[in-house]
Amino acid sequence: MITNAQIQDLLNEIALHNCEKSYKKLFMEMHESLTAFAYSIVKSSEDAEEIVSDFFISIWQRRATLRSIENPRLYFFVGVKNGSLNKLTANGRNKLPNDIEWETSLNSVFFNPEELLLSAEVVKKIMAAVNELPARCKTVFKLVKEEGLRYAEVAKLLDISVKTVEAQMAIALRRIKTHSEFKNQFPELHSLLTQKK
Amino acid sequence: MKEEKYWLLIAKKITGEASAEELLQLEELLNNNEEWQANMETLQEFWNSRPVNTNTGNGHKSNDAYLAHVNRLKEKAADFEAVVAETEIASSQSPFIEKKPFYKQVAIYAVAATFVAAITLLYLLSGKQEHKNLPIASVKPANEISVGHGSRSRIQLPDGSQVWINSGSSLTYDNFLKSNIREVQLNGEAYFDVVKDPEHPFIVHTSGIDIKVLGTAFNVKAYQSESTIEATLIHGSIEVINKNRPGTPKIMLKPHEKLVYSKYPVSDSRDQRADVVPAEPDAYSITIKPLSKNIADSDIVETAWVYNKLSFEDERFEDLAYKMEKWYNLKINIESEKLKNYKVSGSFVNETPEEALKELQFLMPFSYSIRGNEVKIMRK
Repeated sequence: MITNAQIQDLLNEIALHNCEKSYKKLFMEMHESLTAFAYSIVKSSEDAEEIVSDFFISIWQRRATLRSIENPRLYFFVGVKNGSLNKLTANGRNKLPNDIEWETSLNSVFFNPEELLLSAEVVKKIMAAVNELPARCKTVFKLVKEEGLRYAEVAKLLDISVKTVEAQMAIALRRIKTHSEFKNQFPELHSLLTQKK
Repeated sequence: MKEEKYWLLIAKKITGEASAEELLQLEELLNNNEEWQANMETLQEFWNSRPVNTNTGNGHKSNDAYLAHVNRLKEKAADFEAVVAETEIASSQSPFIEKKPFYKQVAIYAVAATFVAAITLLYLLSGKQEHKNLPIASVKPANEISVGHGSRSRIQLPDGSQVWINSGSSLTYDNFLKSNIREVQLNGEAYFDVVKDPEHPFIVHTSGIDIKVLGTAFNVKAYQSESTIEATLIHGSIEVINKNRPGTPKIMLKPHEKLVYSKYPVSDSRDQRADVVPAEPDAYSITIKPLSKNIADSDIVETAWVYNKLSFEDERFEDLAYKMEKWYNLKINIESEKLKNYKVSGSFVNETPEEALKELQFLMPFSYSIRGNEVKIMRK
């Protein structure tokens, strides 16, 4: 995950020196996150690629003006969201920001259970739990966990209140907890033990 | 308490969104519930884990996407590639292009805005140095957060640990990149809420003691100008190493205990306060005092400042004045020995300096005059 400071450094380099290396680096660093985000709105890989490419074209064209963005990472996400909504409109599927039907997939499915003290089985269950979350909740979770956005940034990006982000995160973590509990990990063993009592 | 509220707090704690108040609120909730504590730890561990590196596959994908993108870009922007030669020169001088390890590793951590700001600053500085052809080893990134008198600050470290830094204090740390330990150097006072990570112990260095933790919340007061260093443990456990008495065993501190380390022998002239407290222990000695039990964390004198509360208990007016100097960024002169030794208890929350002085006037017979940030206190 690239930090805001690093993005700003790259943008400065692009603005001041027309640095194509920095431009490429920025593209490579953000491409996966941004296309995944665009995809979750437009649900077409081809469209998602085009939206991100268009946005990066506009970055090059406006590079001189990009030296003091308050929150560069959020700026990229917002830009891609707007591009995605425009794409939906162009395709005749007009959507208000609040009516987006999210289709988000999580990278965390690939989380390495060996790094955790949890068993692979539990990690699988946790991920299944997260993947079954309601679409918007999953989107919030992904943005916070995988893209490292702050609550306030997610709220801004998705046009929802911080309170809603808080609530969605609470729902997600609660579900993870339920699925990693002992009684859910080892249902037979658990019922045996509790029967004895 | 409703379970929903509970989960809101847990989610905030795990994602590093919780305020000091919320953290301590959660602390109190979890204190007597081992099951919930275990839940928290499982979740935190899950949260901190990183994805298996899928970069190889996706890197190719991004590379292909970039080539396709450049083709589209060239149609719309004639100035792309026209500047390649110039770019190569510019970028070969650019400090960050070759610093892949820095990138990759920093990228692992989620960082708070304040931290990013600090990095940017230092990053630019180190970049400048590199232009002067200094050896790369000398630009190993180290961050120093300094907080002036009259203000307090909260930062998030690269590992997600939270630190509240009190006025007139500074905290230095590298980016936890290379070593297997997370080390910080403290000068002054800070409250730490450390993310649990048994494989990477967290160590706070002060001038007299080192404090080793595995995941816990505690307060450290180590101002250069004071004769003692104090560590107060709120929860978890910490290990204290007395640097000046190498042979002595490590000390384990239990929750709600305060450790006091004295820097100087009583007769040391550097300690102006020593003569009025003759019963002070020897230099480099350590004593452990229990905190009064069953009070809210915000009322504990040692951690009240985290709540923007200046708290004092049975304190000499001179010592309180010293605290107020830092708190409000004032210079206070007490012109009466008798006043200096008055003992007072109380706390200031939102009071202005003048309001605070007026409140103190109820407790002691004095008058004051203020000029700029200098306060003169006289006996009535």
